[in-house]
Amino acid sequence: MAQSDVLLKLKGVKTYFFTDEGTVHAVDGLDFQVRRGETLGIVGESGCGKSVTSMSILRLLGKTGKVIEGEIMFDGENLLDLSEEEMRKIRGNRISMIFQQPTTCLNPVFRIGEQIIEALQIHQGLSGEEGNKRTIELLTLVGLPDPVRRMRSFPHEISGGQAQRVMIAMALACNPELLIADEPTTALDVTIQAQILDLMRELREKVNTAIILITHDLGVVAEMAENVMVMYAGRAVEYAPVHALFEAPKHPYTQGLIASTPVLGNVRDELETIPGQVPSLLNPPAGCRFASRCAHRMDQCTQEEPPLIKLEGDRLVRCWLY
Amino acid sequence: MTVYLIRRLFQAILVLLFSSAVIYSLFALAPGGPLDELRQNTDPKSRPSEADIQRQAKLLGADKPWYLWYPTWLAGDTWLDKVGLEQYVGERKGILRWDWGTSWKFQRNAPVLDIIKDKLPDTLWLMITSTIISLVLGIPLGVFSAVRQYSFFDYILTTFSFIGLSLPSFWFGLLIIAVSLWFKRNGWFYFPAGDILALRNYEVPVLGTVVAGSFLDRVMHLVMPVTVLSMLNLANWSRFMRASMLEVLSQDYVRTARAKGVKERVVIYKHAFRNALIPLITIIVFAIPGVFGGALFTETVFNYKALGFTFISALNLKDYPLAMAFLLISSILLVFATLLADVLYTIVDPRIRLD
Repeated sequence: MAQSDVLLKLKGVKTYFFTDEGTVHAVDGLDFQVRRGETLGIVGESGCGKSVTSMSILRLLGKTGKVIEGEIMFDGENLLDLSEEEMRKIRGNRISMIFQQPTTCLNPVFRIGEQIIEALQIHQGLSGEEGNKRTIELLTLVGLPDPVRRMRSFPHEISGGQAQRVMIAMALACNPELLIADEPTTALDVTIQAQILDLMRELREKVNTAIILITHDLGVVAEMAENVMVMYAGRAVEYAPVHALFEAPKHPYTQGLIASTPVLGNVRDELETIPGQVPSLLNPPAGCRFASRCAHRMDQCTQEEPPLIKLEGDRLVRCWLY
Repeated sequence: MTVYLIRRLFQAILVLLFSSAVIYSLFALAPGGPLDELRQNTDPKSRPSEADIQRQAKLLGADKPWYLWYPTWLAGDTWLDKVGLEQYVGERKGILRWDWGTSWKFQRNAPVLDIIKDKLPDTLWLMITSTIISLVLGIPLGVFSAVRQYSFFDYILTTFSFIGLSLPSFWFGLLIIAVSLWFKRNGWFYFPAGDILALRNYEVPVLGTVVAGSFLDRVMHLVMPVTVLSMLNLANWSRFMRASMLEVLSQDYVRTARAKGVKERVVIYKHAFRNALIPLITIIVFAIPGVFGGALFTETVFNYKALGFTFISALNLKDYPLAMAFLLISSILLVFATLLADVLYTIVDPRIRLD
């Protein structure tokens, strides 16, 4: 794998939140990389650090959060070393993001067109006629019906699915090299979900953007991603090509996740669950963080944390079983 | 929109009729009346006879039974013979025919509107100045302290706000009068302790002679009452703005703006501020009736005899025509302010439509 092929590389990233109750180890030593044009799925349950990871990459953690360790190399540059102004020029331009609740992500008092043009104006200096033209192009690209009229609509006048299309148009405005999609379909109806996923796939072909797809929906990952990283309590527990992962999940947590997904037409009395709860990130336990819920627990598990172990076929797993 | 406004106008008229009727009923129900003072006179030499009192009552129109007071105030008493009440016919035309009546006691027989017109400029000077100062300072301070939540500045502003909210205006007013007098005694720069304008020219260090009745004289007299009045509003409005701004800053669309690469300054003053101002409209618009109403405590402490003072005097003197005029104008302004707020909402918030 040539070096220039790697677009984003995280090395030992730790993001902590300093709150009144203590330090939350939201992301605790994360390594992964995304190649140009690749789609990486990040999977995990709520609170495992998926979204914090994306906000760390964009450096939008707010006042309480901070990346205290590690490197986030984007196209050969460490994003953590950039000034706020340099970082701002990357946001929405080379790395852009779409979010979970498309309707609340659009500013209610500005027209849809204005909000897209703003991104074009900041990064490409397009305004006036040019900006309008490009906005109509973008809205057509994301399949919004009647884009000329829609540009003048306010966010409350469109549906959730249309709002997500607008968000995607805004994110793609400057042809980003990396698109971070944080649960892009979670808030949408199932039929709309499929449309949005189709759209994202189609756009990936057209603009060749790398995508980090953050979700807790394994179905979405299976449909979209090439590689998958499973996160648990702030750490990566498994990394594998998508088919290999679904065929033979290695980590007990991944196995549990896949087993707890309902299968259409497969009537069972009760869904499989993973017993127990995610450990508190205020004081993460020593040893493997999944140990307390793991069916294969050994003595070693509670004493020493397993490293990421390399398996055949580009797979990594953090478990003493291997 | 036009249909909506016409409907609201009719509603407003009904509200005003209803509220004026309620107010007048309360006056009628309250013990005592404009003639009490005459009856309470125990000095045998100047004590008026019952016949004198009746003549007075007739002059004021207070000889009528209570249920005719409001109709008279509203529609006059020129028509009462047509309903079989010949003995009460008079020359009043009533508020519906733009007869605001004359003062009973405050300035005997002076037309009520003239009294109000006379006091209005001084009131506006005081209230508009302090409202503008509170807004111009309060909004930016609120925004600033929201953006720097829990910073040193934020704590200072919070402390200041609570002091401002808890200080009674009469006490704070007296305090700064005392300070000003102490400055004057030491021969330092000071502001006049009371009145609207000075009667004679006076000397102030630094400025020299201040000509009585000049613009400078007015400003000198305004500084202290305006300070007292602004203190409360400033504290209130900056707190409100801070809360509103904090709420907006945690919204998803602010995060979107940042993720788009918008400059932080633009995120705050364009994306967030515009949204944070929406709830502030109510507060600002309802300051309008207050501007007319004046400020009772502050006016009293600084002997600044404007409309607030006039109103309370009218109530104490049972000068019903004056008090009624005052209350009616306040109600009109309040109803108008509500309507204005609704219309302004549609302008700043595209989600709101009137129909």
